[in-house]
Amino acid sequence: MIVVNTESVAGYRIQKVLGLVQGNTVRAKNFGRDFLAGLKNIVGGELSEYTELLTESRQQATQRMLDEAVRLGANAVINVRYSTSAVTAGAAELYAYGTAVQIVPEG
Amino acid sequence: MEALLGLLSVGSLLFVGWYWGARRRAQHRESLTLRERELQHVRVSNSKHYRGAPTHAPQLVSVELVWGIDRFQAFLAALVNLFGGELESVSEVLARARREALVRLKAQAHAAGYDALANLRLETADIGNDPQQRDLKVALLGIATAYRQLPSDR
Repeated sequence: MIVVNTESVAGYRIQKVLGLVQGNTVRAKNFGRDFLAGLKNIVGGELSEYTELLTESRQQATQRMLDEAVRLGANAVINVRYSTSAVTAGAAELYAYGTAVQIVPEG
Repeated sequence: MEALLGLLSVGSLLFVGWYWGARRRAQHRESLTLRERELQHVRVSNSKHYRGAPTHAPQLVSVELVWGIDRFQAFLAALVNLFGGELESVSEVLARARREALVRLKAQAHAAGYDALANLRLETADIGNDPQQRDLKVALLGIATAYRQLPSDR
């Protein structure tokens, strides 16, 4: 499966557009991570506990989007976008979406 | 006595933030400059289409980053906030966090054998703020498509 955030795939031609595919996940920070990140934040720098949480969320949302693309029979997802929103204090949603397509090599 | 202890603990947190925060910032800037130099061959654009080498299928690369602002810088930002004006300490952290995100995207592309990034998008992410607003932090989400440049474009 080719996944890109461009509107086309260089070297390939879009044969069929199958429609929008999406995946989301809402995750909350846990107390342990919050406590460690709070201590680290005294001196600033990367808060790896939160970065990891965001990475896991992105991976899960992307996987859900790709599962939907596979169900539709796509071999590529183009124009992928991510967005986040805080649904409540300490919890946020990560949403991934794109367009499932069938592509064939050019020429 | 209690007020004095409280003042001392706040003062020591500010001191730790000021001292270690400045050291960490300097180290980070140095490491960024080094990595940026190593990866300068990776071409970056935010155009929505790209002409890449057809023999190499493109690949999505993405990065997440949550960056904290040390207590001393946060204190300065709170002071500026009283009178208005640019929150220079926060601007600097955001600019540095964006540089870090871009370097990580380039490193991912380079490790997978690509030499160009197209349609780069770097956005701040909303991750649910601390209700008591004790800590200042910024979250970034970056995404791009990694390509292999055509020999004529290199």
